[in-house]
Amino acid sequence: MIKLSGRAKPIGLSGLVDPGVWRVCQASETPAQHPLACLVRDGDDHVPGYGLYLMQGPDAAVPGPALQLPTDLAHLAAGDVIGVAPDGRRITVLWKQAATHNSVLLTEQCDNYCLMCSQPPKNRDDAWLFDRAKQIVSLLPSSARSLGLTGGEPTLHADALIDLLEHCRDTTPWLQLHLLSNGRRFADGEFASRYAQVGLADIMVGIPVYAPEAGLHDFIVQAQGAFDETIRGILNLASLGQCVEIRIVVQLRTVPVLTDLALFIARNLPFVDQVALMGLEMTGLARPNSAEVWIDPATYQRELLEATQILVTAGVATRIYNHQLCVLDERLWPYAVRSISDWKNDYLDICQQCSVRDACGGVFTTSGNRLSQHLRPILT
Amino acid sequence: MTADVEPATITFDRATVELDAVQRAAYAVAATMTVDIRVSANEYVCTLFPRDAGADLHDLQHQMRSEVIDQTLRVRIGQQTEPLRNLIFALAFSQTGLADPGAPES
Amino acid sequence: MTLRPARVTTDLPPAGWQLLPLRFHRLDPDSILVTNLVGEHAFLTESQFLSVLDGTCTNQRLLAELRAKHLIQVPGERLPAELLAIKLRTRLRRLPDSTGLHMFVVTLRCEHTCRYCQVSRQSTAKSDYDMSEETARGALDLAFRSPSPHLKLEFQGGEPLLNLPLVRWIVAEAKRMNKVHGKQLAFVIATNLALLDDDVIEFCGQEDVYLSTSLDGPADLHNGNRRRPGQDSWERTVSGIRTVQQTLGPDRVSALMTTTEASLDRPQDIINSYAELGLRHVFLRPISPYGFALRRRGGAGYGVQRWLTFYEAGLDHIIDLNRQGVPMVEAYTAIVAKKMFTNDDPGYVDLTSPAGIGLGALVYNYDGDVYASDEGRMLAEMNDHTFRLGNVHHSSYQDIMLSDQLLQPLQESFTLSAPMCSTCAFEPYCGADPVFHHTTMGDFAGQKTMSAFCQRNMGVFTAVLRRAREDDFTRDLFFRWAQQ
Repeated sequence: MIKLSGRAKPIGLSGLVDPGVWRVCQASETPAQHPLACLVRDGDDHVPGYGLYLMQGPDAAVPGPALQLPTDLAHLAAGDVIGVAPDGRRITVLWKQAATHNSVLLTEQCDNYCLMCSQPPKNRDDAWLFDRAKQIVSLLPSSARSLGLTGGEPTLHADALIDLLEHCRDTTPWLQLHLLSNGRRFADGEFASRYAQVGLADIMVGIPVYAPEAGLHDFIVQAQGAFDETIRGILNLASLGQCVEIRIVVQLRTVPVLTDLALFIARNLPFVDQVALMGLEMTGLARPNSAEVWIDPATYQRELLEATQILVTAGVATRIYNHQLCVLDERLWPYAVRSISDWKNDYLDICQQCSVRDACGGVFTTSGNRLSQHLRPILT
Repeated sequence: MTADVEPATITFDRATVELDAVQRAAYAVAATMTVDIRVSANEYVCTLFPRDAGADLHDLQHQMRSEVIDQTLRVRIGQQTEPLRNLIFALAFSQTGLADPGAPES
Repeated sequence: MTLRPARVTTDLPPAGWQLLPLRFHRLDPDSILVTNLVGEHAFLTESQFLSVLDGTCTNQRLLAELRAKHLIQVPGERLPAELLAIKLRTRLRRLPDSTGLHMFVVTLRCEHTCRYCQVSRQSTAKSDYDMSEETARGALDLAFRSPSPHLKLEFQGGEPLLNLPLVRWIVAEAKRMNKVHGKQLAFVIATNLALLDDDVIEFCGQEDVYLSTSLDGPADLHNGNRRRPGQDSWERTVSGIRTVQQTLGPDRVSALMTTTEASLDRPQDIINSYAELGLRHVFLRPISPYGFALRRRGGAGYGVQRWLTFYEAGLDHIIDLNRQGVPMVEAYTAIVAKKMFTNDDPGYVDLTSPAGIGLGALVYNYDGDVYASDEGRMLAEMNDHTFRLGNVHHSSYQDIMLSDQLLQPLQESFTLSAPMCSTCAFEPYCGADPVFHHTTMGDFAGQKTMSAFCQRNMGVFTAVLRRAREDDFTRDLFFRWAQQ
């Protein structure tokens, strides 16, 4: 697990830090028009000309406006993208070059209210997040491969989202984009068309579906009419040739209908590009709602295996995310993806001896101590 | 030539049973009996002629009665769902349905 | 953090739903099968069924299942109708793509005297019983008029290898004509393999021709049915199968059985004989009524119950083999499974509505007469020309496809309007067989309560659904078969 934000100590700032988003670089890179923040390690030569310097050691002299990095952010490296507060006292890591997954938060507003939401909705104006997202995209290193776009519900800001997607198309056309959305806005044919017309080469929308009928799905997302709009959104996207992933969070309420949901997808939505069966992250609303949603993953392997087999037999690409290998039925290992973001994954002490540790994503640090009772090292 | 067995008779109240259901029931039981249907003021009178000389008449009456109940259900379901059935077929063959993903390739 | 109180509940209130189009069938005294327009199904008890119909059901788990399977909906919903429409359109999407299968009877000559064969002529010397090139050309012209993007040309007889030169000619000519049409062509020779030699193998290898043969089961059963000078039909067939598997590949030869009275007691023997030869597909076929004068009630005289016992024993044996890791498939069950568990159409001409006559298949006899099905041709051998649609030498494509000979049986047998079929819960899985009903009952629709076709198929559907319901391994096996 790595920290994504920390307190910095400004050194030699003459005014506010502007812009708010910077890409970290080494001294070997020549300063360009981009806002480049030069990393300075102990003993490094000082190369002049950068708009901002990030000091890792307690250097006395600074070549320009500088911020002293906290030890928590010692992991910063060239290629990372950071957000800097105007007063220079807080640095947030927005993009980590070395990370397997990077996501950009676009809004905290949402029109669903899922029982297990890991990013509880906040109803305040956060349009600046879209602006920041555009800056991040502009600063991505050319080695960037993929980017997640998350919320809240990004499609609530239709114009800003389309604008951002067009920016991606124009600035980083090679980037593989993964947009998380509840899909409801795509039930509006006009919006779905606008989305398709952006013409991105590689974008997939990840849409949660929690039950094969509106009753349970609407209950889980706490929004009447959500299932109807979500499925129609999926249908519209498919008819426009857009890539769709269905995401199913496996929790107490979805386990009893997992097989039925797999059958429903196989029969009604077999054209989706992927189904992701996701382990529950015990954070956000999942904590107060724990009695409604928590279930030990080791206890639902039969249902998970059955659902996976049904989908795979029907020709639907299936992946299992956020499950530790020791609680997964071994027949499901081929479908398991090491997926917990490295800023929030960790291993327990008992994992040290595990022979498949490197293939395993570990546990969510955000889940605290709400973990399976059945975690154990697998000894060969 | 004809069975020596006496035919059985059952009646249905016209107020609660539709002729359509009685006729469908007669068709459905044709393997074991042929049914003659007559209409009186407030009843359908059905005469049941067994195909098998050794047939139990009570069984035949049960069979016909059950079949009328089932066919009545079918007529009722058909009536209730006809508007939706028409809508579904119209949607299936319309060019401008809300969603038309094309032929999902399997 | 404060939570919003749950303002959305899952439960449906009394009478809080309406029926979507559905049909029902009583499987058992207390088990009712309910199906929707595209064949998705659920099992209910009698009281559950009535409570769903009259709005009093309080079993929320059941109501959720029925919603998910598009058997009921909440009033005002539109999504279920839209999804049903899409699924229906998917099931029917191959309808415009007639006609996929074209059978060429290249000769009536044959050196076997199979007991049940109605068509072959015993002389193997060249005679008037061979199809000419001119006739073949007329047939090809008609075949290529079909809108179908796929054409399967099947060579039959008699024994087609007795007229191999014409088979070669047709294959070459079809490929030449196809340069303009760009269809996907497939070629199959239906042969007893007794005359298989290196020439035939080389030809099949070069031109991508598949072989289909008859294998009734173990030697005694097979030879009992199929008389040949030397009484070695089985030996030759098996030798032929092995040769093709080794020279052309294991998937280049398939086998079909003909079921006779003698077969009915030996399903395991028959299946094992297939397994021993590495043949993965077994087709447990019904006894054909066309060899017998069957104006008895519905043709049921040949014993539907006995056949169903044979079928279920065979199916169970194949399931067991699969449990042991032997991947056998029962072909008819696979066809039914595809119709039950997917929205796909297996394109099997004998179990489809509208019927497969003409729309699914056309048969060109050696003399140029065009028949709506293979059985229709067999009827003609018994002087019943009901299903003769024309002749390649003087009938145009329109003459044939718009003839009353074809349209009337198609119309009268159409299941969505036939009595009892139209309200039958199994209708999405079933089909129309006007040739069978004409032969056994004298009309194209038949009286379904006394129809062997109906009884047999209802027995098969019931057997498949029961097994899928009672055992997960079997259910998963049927799901895999359905995807083939």
